[in-house]
Amino acid sequence: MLLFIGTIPMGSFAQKNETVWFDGLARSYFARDVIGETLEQDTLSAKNASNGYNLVDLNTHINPIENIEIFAQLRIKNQFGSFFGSGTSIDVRQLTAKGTIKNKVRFSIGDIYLKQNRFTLFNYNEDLSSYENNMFKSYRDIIHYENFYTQNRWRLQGLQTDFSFEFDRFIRTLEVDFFITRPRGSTALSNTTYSSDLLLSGGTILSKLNKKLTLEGNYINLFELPSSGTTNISVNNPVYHSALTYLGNSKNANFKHTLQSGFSERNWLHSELPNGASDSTSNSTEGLFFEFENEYFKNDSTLKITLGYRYVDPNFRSAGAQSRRLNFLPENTNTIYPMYTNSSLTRPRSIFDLLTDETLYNQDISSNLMVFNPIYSNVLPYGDATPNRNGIYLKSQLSTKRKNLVSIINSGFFREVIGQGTAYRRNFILLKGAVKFNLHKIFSWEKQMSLSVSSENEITNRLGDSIESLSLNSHQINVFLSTEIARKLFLQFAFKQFYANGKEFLTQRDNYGNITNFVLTNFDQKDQLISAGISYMLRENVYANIQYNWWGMSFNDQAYPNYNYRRLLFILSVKL
Amino acid sequence: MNIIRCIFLALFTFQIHLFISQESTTTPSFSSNISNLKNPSSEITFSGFYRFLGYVRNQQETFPNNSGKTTAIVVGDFYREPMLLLKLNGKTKDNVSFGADLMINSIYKGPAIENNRSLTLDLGLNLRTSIVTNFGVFNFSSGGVSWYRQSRLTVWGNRSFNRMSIFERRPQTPLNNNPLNRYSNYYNDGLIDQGVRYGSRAFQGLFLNATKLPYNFSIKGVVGKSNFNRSFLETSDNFTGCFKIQNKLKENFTIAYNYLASSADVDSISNNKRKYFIHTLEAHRKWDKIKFHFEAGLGNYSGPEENLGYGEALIFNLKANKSAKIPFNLQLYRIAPEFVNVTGNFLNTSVLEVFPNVAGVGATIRTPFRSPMVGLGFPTNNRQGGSINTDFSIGRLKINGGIGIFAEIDTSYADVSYIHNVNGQTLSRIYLFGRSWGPYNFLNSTYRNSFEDVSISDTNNYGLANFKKFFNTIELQGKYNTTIFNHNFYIFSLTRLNSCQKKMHGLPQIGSNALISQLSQEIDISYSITKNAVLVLSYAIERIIGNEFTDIGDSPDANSSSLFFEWLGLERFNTYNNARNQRNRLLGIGLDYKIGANAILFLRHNQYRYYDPNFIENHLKGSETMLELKITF
Repeated sequence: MLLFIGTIPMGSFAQKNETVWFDGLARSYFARDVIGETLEQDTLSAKNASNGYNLVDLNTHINPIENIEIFAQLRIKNQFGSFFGSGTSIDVRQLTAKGTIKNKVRFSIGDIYLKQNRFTLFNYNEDLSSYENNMFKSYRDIIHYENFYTQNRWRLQGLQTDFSFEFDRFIRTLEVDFFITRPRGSTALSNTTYSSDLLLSGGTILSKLNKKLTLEGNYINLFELPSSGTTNISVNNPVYHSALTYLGNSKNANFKHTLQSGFSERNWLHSELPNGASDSTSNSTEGLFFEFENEYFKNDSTLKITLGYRYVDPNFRSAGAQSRRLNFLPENTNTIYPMYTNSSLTRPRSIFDLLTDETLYNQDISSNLMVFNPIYSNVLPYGDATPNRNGIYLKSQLSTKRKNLVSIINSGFFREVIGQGTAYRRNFILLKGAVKFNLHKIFSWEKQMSLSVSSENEITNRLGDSIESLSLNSHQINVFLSTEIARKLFLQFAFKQFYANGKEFLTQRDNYGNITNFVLTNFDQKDQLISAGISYMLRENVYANIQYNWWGMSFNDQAYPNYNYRRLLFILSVKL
Repeated sequence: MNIIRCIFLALFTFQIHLFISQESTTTPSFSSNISNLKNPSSEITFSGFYRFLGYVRNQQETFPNNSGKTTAIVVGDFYREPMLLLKLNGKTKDNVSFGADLMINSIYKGPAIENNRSLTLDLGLNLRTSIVTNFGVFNFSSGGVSWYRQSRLTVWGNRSFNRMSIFERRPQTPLNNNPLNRYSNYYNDGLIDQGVRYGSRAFQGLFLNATKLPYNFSIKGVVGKSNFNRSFLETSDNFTGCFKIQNKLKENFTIAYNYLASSADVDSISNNKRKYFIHTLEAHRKWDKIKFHFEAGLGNYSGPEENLGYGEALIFNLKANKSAKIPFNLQLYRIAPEFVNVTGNFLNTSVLEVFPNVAGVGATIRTPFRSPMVGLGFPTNNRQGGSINTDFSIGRLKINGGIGIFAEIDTSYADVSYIHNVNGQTLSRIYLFGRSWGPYNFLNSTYRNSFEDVSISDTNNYGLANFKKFFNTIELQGKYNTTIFNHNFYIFSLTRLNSCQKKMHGLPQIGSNALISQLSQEIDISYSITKNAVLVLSYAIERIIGNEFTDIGDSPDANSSSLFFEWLGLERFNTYNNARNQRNRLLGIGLDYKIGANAILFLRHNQYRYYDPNFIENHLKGSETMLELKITF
């Protein structure tokens, strides 16, 4: 009675006959940082500091039988300046087995990269990264690679399987996906106490009802297994999601309308089994979301417009979609010059740190809302799944047929569903835009030359009395000029400035995510980053880049002294 | 029940139509997991070797501070050499090469995990690529450790005349097709292949080699680090960079400009730097039978301890081929004390601080520093002089030798150091990379060698020697090949005589005229027993004699400094001293046996003695046995 049809494209596993084959990445990295000129003296820090390394991530693919692959990623790394074996490490970075059973059921065990949809399991891009230009690609590539960020997926460890059916009437397909992973294993907290295993499981059933209609249902649950540890408190956060998508078309364009909705629960189970009492739950919250999105895109790719409305409950909690990449916990200090001035102040984080410091980023699924910095992302700090938002958004991509000019606009107008600490609600305006002029196409030059400009603006306002009212404005500008001076060799210049002004309340939460306090914080700062360099691009993932960065931060009427630093960077990155 | 029936009917209907259906969806089915395509790197190969070294040392006489342990049983090389070297070499579609050399060791000391988890890199990771343009060919490499060579005064590894005993093997020495080839090659060419590192220096960083540039130019250079002149903090600035611009004026005539700069922060906040830089000009000219090389330059050293200012250096080399009527090699040099460099083809004797003193960067490798008495072909700074060498054959007897005279340019430390020609490796194995060790703190161990520091009592008010030192050297090597019972037989004889004294002499001095004199005689024999087996024998003696201006021993009686005359009973010629009177000896036997293609077994056994009757506690005696199995792949 089973109706399997092998729709899984397995040709990819059978391109070549080698039992063992390799790919991977090799990278040489060197950075030298120097203290710039500042009014406030810093004679306690080293005037300059350098570090570097060479690494090879050797991806070993073993195909013992057809349609089965064992994959191990070995990292061989040696620090720059260490000779004769010191500063060398060899680690296993990933280990996975995957394949298909009888050409029908696909499975993966081990390190897997999972994504469902934007409200259940989704790894949103980090703050201020939307319109990055090529100048900083080498930095951004490292952050993404080192933190296993790929295609907005979370890297998890567990088991995943999927299979599909095809039908010729009533419905066209029925696609089933299931996974269970362990984001955190049980660990010893002391000699006698252990934390519980944290599991994340989920499933999807999707059906293409016909050529135009798709219906899907998703479920995901982040939960602790109380019996795997000795603590009697365990979190449970199931999320249910459904969506209906309609695809339409006209002669020159396609339409897509998506209606999706879902709800979440979250509570902490207090197990009283050792005491003989019945279990109880606490801090239970429930929330729903709703989104209606309409897309229009021309077949010649010159225009794409998305218009939508979204509502997300204040208590909607979805750990898989609301975990952030950037981790703003206070103990997460900057790697480059963490202290500055002769008073040994903790150096406030700048956009340069966000761009270059891979250790500021998070790879874990968090059961609570993570801390964010409102100047970098206040409108949608948790992406589209940000709770307590209600509003409309408009996105567009416009380009000429020859791609002489490419532009992107992303805007949104949101409002809180309920006020935080007051009856007044925040209003948010999001205005982001980027335009790229391909000058070589405009002027018919043989060598490439392009100018890119982008602007990202977030405005937050709240009415009320002098205590309740707030206003925060943050703005980032990017300018990037790239010109090909010889074949594949580019001279590049970039300017990035970030400006934040106003006041906002930072929320403090307890271990169960309840708000415990609001801390009024005033902002009036300007970050700047100027960069010039050359890049030799063999292809997209094979390049050598030398650049010099001038970066710093200035504050008006604030306790922090301004600072300036410089950096020389060399990266040779080769995708094997 | 009705619901189940409906589902059943629906599924049944689907199934029927499934088989008659021709339509199929083309979009991939939903998967929460990532899909990946097979995209193998174009080429990855592995090569390397397995090298087992079993070692037993049995000490009959030990230094008095010996713990009581007289037998050492060791598996694996003492000097951080791989037991299994797995070299990974890859090349991408973009012509980018990458390589890593995995070093896998096991010390075979029981199954405990800590004894069996030694996996690391031998040298490091390297990325290389080559870009061919209309302007030239540009080779880039990044990483390290890479072996780099530029010019004798800037970056160059020690390469002398290859006069040495070949009884002991080096791990880098490749295997020959036939065990006898090692000895026949040495007989014919005087050169043993020591691997890529021989004659070069270890560097890390970014390397460029541009060839076929317009107007016959070529450029090579590196920006990075060597394992010398390092900061205590790894993150502090410490870099060594150099480049060479060369022009080929004619087919056999090239000129070049070389530059090298090295700088290291010596405090945590980067206020003080220790740095030196060098500019040199170089010329190579080749005629039919004569080769000429000349390099001259200026160097400058400054540091928090002292600013030496500018100093000059000059190396001149004129060599006539073996086919010339009179084959000769004339070498002249003058290197000022201010001309400091630790990566060139000369020993630094004026600034101690540039030697590495940071763990993990070869901190233990410190060459002889205090007025070293060295063989021919080993220049040092604060010294000038020349040598002439020749190489000729009389029938099957091949003779090469040389004589050299050298003098210090300025007075220096009240010390002299000398490298042991006999038992150097044996001593270094007793205390690896030890400094100032032994009962009198004379001994220093380096990589597969050892040297001794000798104090001089004739000093000025600053504690420096009260005179300039003069050095004389004679080296004479004879190589002979014949057959015995139709099997090849090789005998190699090497005589070396070095001395250091207060005055200039034409020949090396022995006895009280010299502060230190060193005479060594080494004889190696190889005999091909079968096609796959070679018997090797070695006998070596070394005499070190000091005069009254050097360290005085603790023996109450003076001892003969001329054993030969003492043995003959010619008291008239016999002399006695209380200073160094070392008598070192090595007697060795070994077997090279080929057990298969690319697999050779080497067995070595030697009896050693290190003895000085004037320094009563300087007495070592014992044996070493080594079994080496090397298999290359």
